[in-house]
Amino acid sequence: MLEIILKRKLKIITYEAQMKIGLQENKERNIYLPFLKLASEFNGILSAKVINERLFFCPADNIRGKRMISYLAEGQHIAPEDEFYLDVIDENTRYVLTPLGESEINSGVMTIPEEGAYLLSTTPDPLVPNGIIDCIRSNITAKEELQTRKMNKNKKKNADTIKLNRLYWGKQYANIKQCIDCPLPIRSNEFIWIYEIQPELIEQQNSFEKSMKIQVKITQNSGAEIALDLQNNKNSKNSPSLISFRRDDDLSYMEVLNELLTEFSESDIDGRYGYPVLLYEYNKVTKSEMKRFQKDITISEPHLKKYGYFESTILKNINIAPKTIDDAVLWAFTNLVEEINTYIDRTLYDQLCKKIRECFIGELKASLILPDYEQFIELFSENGVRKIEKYDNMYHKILSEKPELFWFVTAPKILRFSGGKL
Amino acid sequence: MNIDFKGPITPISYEVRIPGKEEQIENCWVIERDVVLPYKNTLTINTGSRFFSVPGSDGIFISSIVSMIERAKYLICLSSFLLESGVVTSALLKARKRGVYVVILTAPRELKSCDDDEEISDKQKEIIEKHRQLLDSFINHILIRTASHFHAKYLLCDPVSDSATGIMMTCNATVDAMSGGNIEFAVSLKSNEIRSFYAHFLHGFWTESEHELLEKGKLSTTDNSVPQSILKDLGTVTLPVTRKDTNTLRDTLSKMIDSAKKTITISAWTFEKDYELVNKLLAKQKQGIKVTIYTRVNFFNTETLHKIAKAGAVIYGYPRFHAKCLIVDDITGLIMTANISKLGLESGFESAVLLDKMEIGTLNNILEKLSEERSQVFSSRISSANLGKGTYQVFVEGKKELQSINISDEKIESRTVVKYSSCEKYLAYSFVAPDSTKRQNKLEYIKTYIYPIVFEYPKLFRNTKIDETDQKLGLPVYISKKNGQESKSIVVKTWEEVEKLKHLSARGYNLVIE
Repeated sequence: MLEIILKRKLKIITYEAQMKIGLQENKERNIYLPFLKLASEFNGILSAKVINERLFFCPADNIRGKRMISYLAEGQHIAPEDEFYLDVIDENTRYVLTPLGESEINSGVMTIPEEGAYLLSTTPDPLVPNGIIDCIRSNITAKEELQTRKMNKNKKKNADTIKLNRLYWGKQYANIKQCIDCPLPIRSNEFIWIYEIQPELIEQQNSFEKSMKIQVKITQNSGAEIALDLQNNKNSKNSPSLISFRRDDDLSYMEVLNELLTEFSESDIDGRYGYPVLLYEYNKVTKSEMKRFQKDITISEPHLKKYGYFESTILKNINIAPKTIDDAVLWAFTNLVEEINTYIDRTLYDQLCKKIRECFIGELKASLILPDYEQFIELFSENGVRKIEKYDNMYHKILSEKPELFWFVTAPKILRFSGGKL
Repeated sequence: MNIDFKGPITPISYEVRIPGKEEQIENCWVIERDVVLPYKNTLTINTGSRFFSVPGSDGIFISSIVSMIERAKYLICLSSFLLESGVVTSALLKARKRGVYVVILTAPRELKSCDDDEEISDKQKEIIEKHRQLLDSFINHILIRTASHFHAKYLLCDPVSDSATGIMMTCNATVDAMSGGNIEFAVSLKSNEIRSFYAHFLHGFWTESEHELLEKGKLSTTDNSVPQSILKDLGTVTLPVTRKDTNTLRDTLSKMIDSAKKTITISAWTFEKDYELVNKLLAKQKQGIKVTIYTRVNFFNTETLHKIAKAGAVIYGYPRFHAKCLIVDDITGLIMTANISKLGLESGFESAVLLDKMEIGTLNNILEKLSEERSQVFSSRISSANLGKGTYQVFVEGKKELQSINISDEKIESRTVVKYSSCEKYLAYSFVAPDSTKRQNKLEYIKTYIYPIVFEYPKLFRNTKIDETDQKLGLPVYISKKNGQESKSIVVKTWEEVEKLKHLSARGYNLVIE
């Protein structure tokens, strides 16, 4: 399958932040799911009273019911039916399932909130839509760190802390609480739900894998796939080094190809066939490229309007064709010689020439000359008369690279009962 | 052998080896005389229609091959089970430089030999290395195709031209074999034969080869997709051959042997045990047809042939008899490259030349010369008394190789004998024994075991005296005593006297010489 792979280094900045996040809890360990499910039995309405009576088997006003309601509300699995009751919970306060809560009942996977200091890996690369690549727990608590820095702040006038709403990616997190895609946690099938990021963050040094790249793979049939390439990721032998996290179906293979080939001058591209064909001189292509009519081409500065610049890349299997008729003649002769790998007589030779000619396109095919059988045999004869002057020297040069051809051509002529004649 | 029973009896003195203990030895190769190989002088006979050669170490045979190659103008085809670097291969390379196409069919060297231990020497590694170097020198010049069954040995030059020449050899194109290292035959080919051989070569090249040498150090598998136009143009093999699905050589040999009425002479390097043609030879010998075999002395051939020898066939053994031929009743015959084995006649790649009566005469002369020079003759039963001191090769059933026996502690006595050729007539009445059965036994024993070598003539004992009392015959009668027994003898001097007095032997008189 034809595909183009473009890569570039990912600039990563890591911050430590005080956050409240939700992590998905495994089905097996999930003790809260039955409480949510209870709501579905009561038309989506949950209250402390219902919980106490149905699951805790205790009086309706028992504190346990309220605590559970409070926990579920905090995790945004449920929300008060009436927003006024936000802070006052009594056993009859009615709560409804949030969309998150509903999806959790369906999937059986619940997001459990936690709070603390986290390392946020972020990137300015526009291919990562939310800016955040990863979010992992910090060893030291951000709270303590912030305390010490605040104390020192008055003494030194350097601002170590960064305001969230000053960061280009952070603005969207300043007020909203939303579920974000963090590409890396997907490795272990986790999703992180960010409830809150405290407005002050601390930039970290060297805290993330530096060699990470972002990759765009465009295949002929299914648009672009964007992935993180972890390169030599040491701590995860079993996990994949390529984490794909986004698709872009608007980007077609052919558009990308055309955009990348703008490095070539227009006279080197034949675009009449619905796909780009690069034109080459005979001596600029290898035997195998001539045979395939395809070449792997290096693009030194790939650029896509939509995604920007990438590292130099190799475009595989790009269609190529000879530039001039002379190139085509030698190209065809080379292919002919390469195709003769066994003993050949006139019939087989004629069939082969026809097949070789069929591989060429356009007017090249029409004006392509190949030596006929007699002329070809003549090329191997020591006392041969040169009949195809123009290309003769080149023909001999091509033939000299495949000495076994001498017998493939000569033996069928001389080693026959009517042929061993003087 | 002419036996002249006229005139005086001329006894000769003969040295007889008397072993310490006399015993009968079965299936023994009796050394007659040492054949010195290589043969020095190449034997070449021109019958008018073709040349016969027995290569010698004088290099004449190789020179004739080189000269053939030098005269080639367009195409040289060589088939040989083995190849070896030498003047012939140099000549082939030179021919290519002149623009002559050279194509060779041979067996892959690293494979085991076609017929058990054919020409495999101790220096195998060295030979293989030299062979590899030889093949490397052929790359891009000479086209070589191989198959493990390519065993035929012939050289064709410009086979489809008016100046076509060809030779079939029983030897491979190796220096030693072409220089008298083996006993080999070679015959030049007539023009119609060359065409048949060329067709045989083309069939081998295009349809039976397994590998070919196109790149250095690499035998690549032969592509079996031969262009159709070639398959239709391979010619017709008219001579008896062995090749894929064709066993005309076997059939010809079989018919020839079947047709034998008097004599069969056959030679080969290998005779395969229980092979149908070998069984036919045995049957023919039992029918009273005189079978003569020339071969090399080794276990397998002895194992195969000892029954035929027992039935009365004469088997001549040589250290390296590699020539292969068949002559039946001195009327039909052929020289071939095949051994008398399944490999050679059922599944191999072999060739043969049919001989006319005159050519058979030539071949007979060559064989007769060889039989005079024979190194060993096979004897199915012999007395150790008739074997000189030394080591003999004996076939013993159940063993895997020929067994060596030592004849030693012999003493040599000089005896007066007449040549065996004159004995036959004399035997009948020259022995006196009162017991007729005993006498008959002794005669039989002498006829069977001693007679082929020598016959001791009875003579007067030392202590004999003239018996004055016996006057009735009118001849002096000598009397002697041995072991208490008295014997009477009459001295004879001529065959005529023997004839005249033979009736006296029945009356208890020995006829003796002085």
